[in-house]
Amino acid sequence: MVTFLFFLPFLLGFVVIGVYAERKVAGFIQNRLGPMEVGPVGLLQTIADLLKMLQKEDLRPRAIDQVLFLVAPILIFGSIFTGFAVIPANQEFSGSEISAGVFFLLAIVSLDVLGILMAGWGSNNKYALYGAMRSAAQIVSYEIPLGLSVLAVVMVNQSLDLQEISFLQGMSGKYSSYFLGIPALEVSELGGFLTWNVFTMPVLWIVFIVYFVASLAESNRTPFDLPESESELIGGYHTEYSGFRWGVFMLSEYAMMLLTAILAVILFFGSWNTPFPNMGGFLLAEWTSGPVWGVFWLISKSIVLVFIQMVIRWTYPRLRVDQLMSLSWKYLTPLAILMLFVVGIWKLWLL
Amino acid sequence: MSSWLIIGFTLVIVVPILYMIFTSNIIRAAYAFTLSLLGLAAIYVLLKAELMAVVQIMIYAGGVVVLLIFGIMLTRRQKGMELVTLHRDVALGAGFCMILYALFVSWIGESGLAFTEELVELNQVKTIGISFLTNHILSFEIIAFLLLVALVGAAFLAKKTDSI
Repeated sequence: MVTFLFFLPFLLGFVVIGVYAERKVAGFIQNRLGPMEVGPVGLLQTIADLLKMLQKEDLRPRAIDQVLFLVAPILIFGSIFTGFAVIPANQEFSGSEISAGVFFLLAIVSLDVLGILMAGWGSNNKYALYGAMRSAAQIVSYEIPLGLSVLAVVMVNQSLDLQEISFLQGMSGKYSSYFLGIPALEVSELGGFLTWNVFTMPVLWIVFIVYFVASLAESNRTPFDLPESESELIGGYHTEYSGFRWGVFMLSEYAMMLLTAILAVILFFGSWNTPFPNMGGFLLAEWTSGPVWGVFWLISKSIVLVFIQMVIRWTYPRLRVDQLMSLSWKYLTPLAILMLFVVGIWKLWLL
Repeated sequence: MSSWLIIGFTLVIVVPILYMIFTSNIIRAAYAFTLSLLGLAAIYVLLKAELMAVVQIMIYAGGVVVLLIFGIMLTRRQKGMELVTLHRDVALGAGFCMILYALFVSWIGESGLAFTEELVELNQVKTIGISFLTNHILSFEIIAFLLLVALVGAAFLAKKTDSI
């Protein structure tokens, strides 16, 4: 519960900074400066935008379905934010301790499709409906490679509990860990990046790529932002929303980015464990471990992944609908199944 | 405390279902159905069946209802007609439902299932997983095979070419 209370204010702060960062990253990638006017180097731009957005009139077109239109933003943000319930923050604050942790996360986050369909239908606008349909088709298809790649990690760590997966990637795990899965290279005492899942089981790098692509699609980010592609569909499922309600959609998009990034860090990059190993007399891993360090490592590693998501957004063009579907069904899903098989064999015979 | 929670979530199950029966707005009916499914998941959580609750959310609320809503949206204005729900043969339907309800109540009474005060604490994922692959391996494999058949069948039906 405490962990959950940590994430809500953190999330709000993250969105304010995230929107600013996104515009700055976009600016630098396109060889311009981004926001510069409000505050030093434009730091207060998002605050100004936020104030403007909150003052806007709450427009409700006459032809909408009142109930669905009003409930949709709450459902979307609620389902994504509930996903944070099982995320551990550090060694001591472990989130909700249910044995089906990551499975619960995937299940509850998949409910945001219902909210998107609700928004699209409730708006009574054909572009909004097209956006919602595209989004639902996309999210449902990409849930399969996403689930399979998470399953591969679960097979390696033999647990669905995210806190247990975190402990196994540090020095305090139940089993000893081996670098690259070679029994001669035991690194349980060294810690650091050597005990992370991607280094004890190198196949997981490929699984991580599958996960990362699928998570971009799940959070409707470019190159998979067809549901809201503004050049074709005006704004997709949130076309008719304005003011605070639109803000909730924006908040859920950034919440989803952060959630997928944190989940990636927990599953592949050592969760709240430090990246520095113990080296001889320099006990770097022990010096940089602790409750505060845990939160710091988890968040900073996630922010790096969010930064990569932003760079990708401003680098790649949008996919076509058929390309999107064939990427999911013809490439990512078979690759994820193959990787699941390889990980299983590796786990059974080499370890 | 716990019994009040159970009453509350039972209302979450029953009220949306009643709304679903009496409304003529089919899309709202589908969402009301989702709400009652989530209420059912909450009841599972109160009875400490976490895995069952998560499966309930994943399969029903996340999967089946999305398919349902997708179907409703795609079939909306076919042949220029609006999609509305009608109530026909109310007496017959109600009669069958009452009979079914009476049968269920009597079967549950006979089976001896009851709420136990002491709820068992165990690692459900592990226990269920192990019993799937040991005691219930045959039914597990048969269900897996049936799903595979359905999957292949769906892919075959979705194929567009004329040659079969």
